[in-house]
Amino acid sequence: MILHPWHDDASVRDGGVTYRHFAVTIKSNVNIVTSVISALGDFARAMSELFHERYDPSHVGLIISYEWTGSLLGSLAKRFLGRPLITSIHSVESMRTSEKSLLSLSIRGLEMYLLYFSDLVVARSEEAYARALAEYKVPSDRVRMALTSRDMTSIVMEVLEGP
Amino acid sequence: MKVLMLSWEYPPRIVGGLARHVYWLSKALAQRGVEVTVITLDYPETPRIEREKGLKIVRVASHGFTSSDFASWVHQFNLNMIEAALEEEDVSLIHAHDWLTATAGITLKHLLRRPLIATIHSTEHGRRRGEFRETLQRHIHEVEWWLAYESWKVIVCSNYMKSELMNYLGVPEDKISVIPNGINPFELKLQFDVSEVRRRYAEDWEKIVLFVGRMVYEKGPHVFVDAALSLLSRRQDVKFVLTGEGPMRKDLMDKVYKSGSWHKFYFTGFVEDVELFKLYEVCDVAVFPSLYEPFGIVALEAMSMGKPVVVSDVGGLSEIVVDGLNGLKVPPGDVWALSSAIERLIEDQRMAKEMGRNGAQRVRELYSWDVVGERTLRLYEQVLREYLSSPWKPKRFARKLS
Repeated sequence: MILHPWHDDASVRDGGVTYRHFAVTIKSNVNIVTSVISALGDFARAMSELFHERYDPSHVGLIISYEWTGSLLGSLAKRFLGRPLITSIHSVESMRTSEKSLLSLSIRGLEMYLLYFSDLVVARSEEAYARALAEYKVPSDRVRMALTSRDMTSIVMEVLEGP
Repeated sequence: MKVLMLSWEYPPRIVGGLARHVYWLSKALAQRGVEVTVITLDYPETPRIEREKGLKIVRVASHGFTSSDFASWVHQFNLNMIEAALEEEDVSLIHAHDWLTATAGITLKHLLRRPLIATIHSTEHGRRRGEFRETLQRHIHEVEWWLAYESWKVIVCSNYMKSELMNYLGVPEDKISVIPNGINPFELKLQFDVSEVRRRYAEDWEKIVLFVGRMVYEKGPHVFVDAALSLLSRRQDVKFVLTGEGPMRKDLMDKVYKSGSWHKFYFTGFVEDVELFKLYEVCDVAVFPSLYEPFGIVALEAMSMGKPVVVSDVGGLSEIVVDGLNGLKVPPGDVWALSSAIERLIEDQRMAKEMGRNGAQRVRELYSWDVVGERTLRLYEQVLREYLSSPWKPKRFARKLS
């Protein structure tokens, strides 16, 4: 199942995948941080509808989130469902910008917190892997690298199947 | 019944009137057997968790992350509030105060599937007089709309605020409950040498006219100064004391200095509660010339001290004061009417005393925390009854969090 913010609420099934869009209420945002955090209420609404009314939450084995923006929603899902959280990162803030603006520092702070909160960080490039270790000091046993989708799939299966 | 109360300020973190409001409301509810957990922000040298007879205070980090601006900071501390709130068990309902805790309130409502009640103390539309020039203001306005939309019931402190919510946030009338703010008159009883304090501010032959409020446009300090200068052109037996801090203070001090009547004014700046209550005690008339006022708790404080008040006929002040009974009302921004009303109360001591007595009685009857706590509890009970008979609740799956 894929949950993602959109302009309306809808569920679409395609093959074995359910896409659940949830409408984001707050449109006039000050920056990306307010935009992502203010989407939490709508994300909680979507999760509440799904897991109070339609699906048994115990059937969820794992939560996978993408970048710090998705990881923020993923962290709420982890708290709600009590399942492990994998955060997949293609980059970290220092790769996206070299400036040290307050907004950038703010994103770095959130990114660090979320990578720590994740049960596993999967870096999708060598540089992201190196920076997660060097800049955010995520313990090395919780950072993996997956350069291809096949690598990612095998990591996910590994986590799902357990040690 | 267990209530999660969300507020960004709670004593000793006092920014505005909200901290005291949440403090006294939580106490009044706890006295009525409600289990209250207040989730609020940290404060130096204050424990993270405090407990006291049915009341639990949980303080979360206010600066866990770097913030680039006010809105980001607000949303970031909401993350910490959500985390702390999810540790609480058996929550019956969530009560969020103002847009500052909207993200946490709405998220918790959905995760826990428990009703959300919001108190909206003022609106961005009202504070900005409808002018949203910056994204931040539009953002706040939108979050206020969202909070009201997601809430089972919205509490406001006056009928004026009710109409503001209906007109500017589109809230249906039957969703709004008017419960005034309360004050605790017994808290204000102090023993001190009245004449000693009085002489700090005025000569024995001078009447003291007091303004209390932030020195911002909406509180009308400029109207007060203009009315004072007008009155001083007719009589000299008056001293005007302005209490409060804000961006207009320096300009007003300059204006008074240039008028040549600077010796008739006393700008105290911000004063602590104890000094403020002494000022109420020694003043002859208290004046609240606001141009925008959702409620007007300062007028209640003066009334509880038995002081006659002159207020603008605006917002919550209009509802607190019955003209001629416990004070005088003047059109907002009307300098001449304000100076005349002040003069009436200075001239007619009997009338002023009578109004002071009536005001104190009105505060006891309508605005004590006992009354406010009882009315809030009745609203909680009503919401829980409606909730229990609704299909919207946790179902099918027993979850860890509920």
